[in-house]
Amino acid sequence: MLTMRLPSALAAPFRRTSRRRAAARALPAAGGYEAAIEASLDLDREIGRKLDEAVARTETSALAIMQQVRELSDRSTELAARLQQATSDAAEFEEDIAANAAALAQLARFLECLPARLQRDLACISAIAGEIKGLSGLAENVQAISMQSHLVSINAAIEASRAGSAGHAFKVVASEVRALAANSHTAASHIGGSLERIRSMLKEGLENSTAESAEDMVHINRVSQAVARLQTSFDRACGSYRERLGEMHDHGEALAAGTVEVLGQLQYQDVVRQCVERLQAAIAQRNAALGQEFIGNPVPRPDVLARLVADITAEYLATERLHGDGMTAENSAPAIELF
Amino acid sequence: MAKTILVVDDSGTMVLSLKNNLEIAGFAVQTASDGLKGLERLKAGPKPDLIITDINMPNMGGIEFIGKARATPGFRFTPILVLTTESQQARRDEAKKAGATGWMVKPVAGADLLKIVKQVLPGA
Repeated sequence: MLTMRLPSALAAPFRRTSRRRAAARALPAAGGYEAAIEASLDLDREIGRKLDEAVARTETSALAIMQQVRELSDRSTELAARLQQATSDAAEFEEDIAANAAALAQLARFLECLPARLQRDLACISAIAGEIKGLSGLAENVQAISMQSHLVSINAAIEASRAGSAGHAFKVVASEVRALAANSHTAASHIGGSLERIRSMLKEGLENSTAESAEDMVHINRVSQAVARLQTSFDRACGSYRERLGEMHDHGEALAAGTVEVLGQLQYQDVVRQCVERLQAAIAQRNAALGQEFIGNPVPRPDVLARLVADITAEYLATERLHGDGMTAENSAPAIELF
Repeated sequence: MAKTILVVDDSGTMVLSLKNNLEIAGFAVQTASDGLKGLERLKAGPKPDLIITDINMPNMGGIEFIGKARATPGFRFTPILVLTTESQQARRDEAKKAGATGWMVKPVAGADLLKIVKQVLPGA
């Protein structure tokens, strides 16, 4: 806690005038001036006390303001540190999201190519189905050949019977050819049946795939659009976040600059204090002159007093001109100068 | 490492104003309430990189303090700025002769103060 100092130059004349006032009470009245001078001195003392109080109050307030400003500044500094951490975290987060966005973009490209791939696969399956249909025709040909072989073997058996014992061996051959034709027919029938089943399966699968791929196309388009929207939202969120961080940083800097200016402005309290001290010193000088001339002197000399007070005034004004911040001082020297 | 500044002023308001302002700007601040205590500070250490002093102070005024600081070993080239309500040329000349580096008339704006401090403290 700071206390105000009453300048010794100010306090001493008051003490002197008090002593002289006591002595003067014993002297005859000097033309009725004494009471007026005493009243004037009382007023000056009251004014001096009030000025001291005012200076003390402004100093207390200035110190309290500085304390508050410092606390605000410390909070601002803490906020700036947290902001810095947030910026660092955001950069890390941005890198992660950028990597995810790249993966999403890759997925989107894959989804875009998928319909063409499906179409190509379907065309391939359709071509296989066509080839299988061709194979079915070949199986029918084999069946026709086996049927003809069967008929040839029957005719051969009839002719062998007509030949009697000489055609016995030929009859055996005809029988084997008939059995071979029957086996060929059976195999061709199995092949034809299998090919037909495969073709049916392919046909059914192709129809299902065509229907499903149309449905898949709708889903793929939706997913592609969602990915595009996600990327746009992410870019917007990143931009907005960067903008907010920039704004907060600017506000922080403005707050710091404002704090510095407030602290600078509070120096006026000291300027005013010194101004009041010089004023009080001048009043004390004048009071001393008044006391000396009217209270301690049986024959007051108003002309001498007038000169004394004029000198005090001139000295006070000259001192004031040597002080100030450039707005009040009659001095051409710059407020800030490096030698 | 933060540069250290010694503030010598008999006004509590001025000392706190300068201390807060300079600390917020990243400086370490020592304080003394008059020239005599300022000299004690210089001798006790740690050595400040810059001194800012008032002129009118009890016990020992700023001009005398500057002269004695310059005579103290290790402070021949330490920048010393005067911060006072006085603005007359004669007093500036006295301060310059005693070894002051610069003169500032109170009140000085916070930004201007920091600008001058950084000007006389290379690397600050």
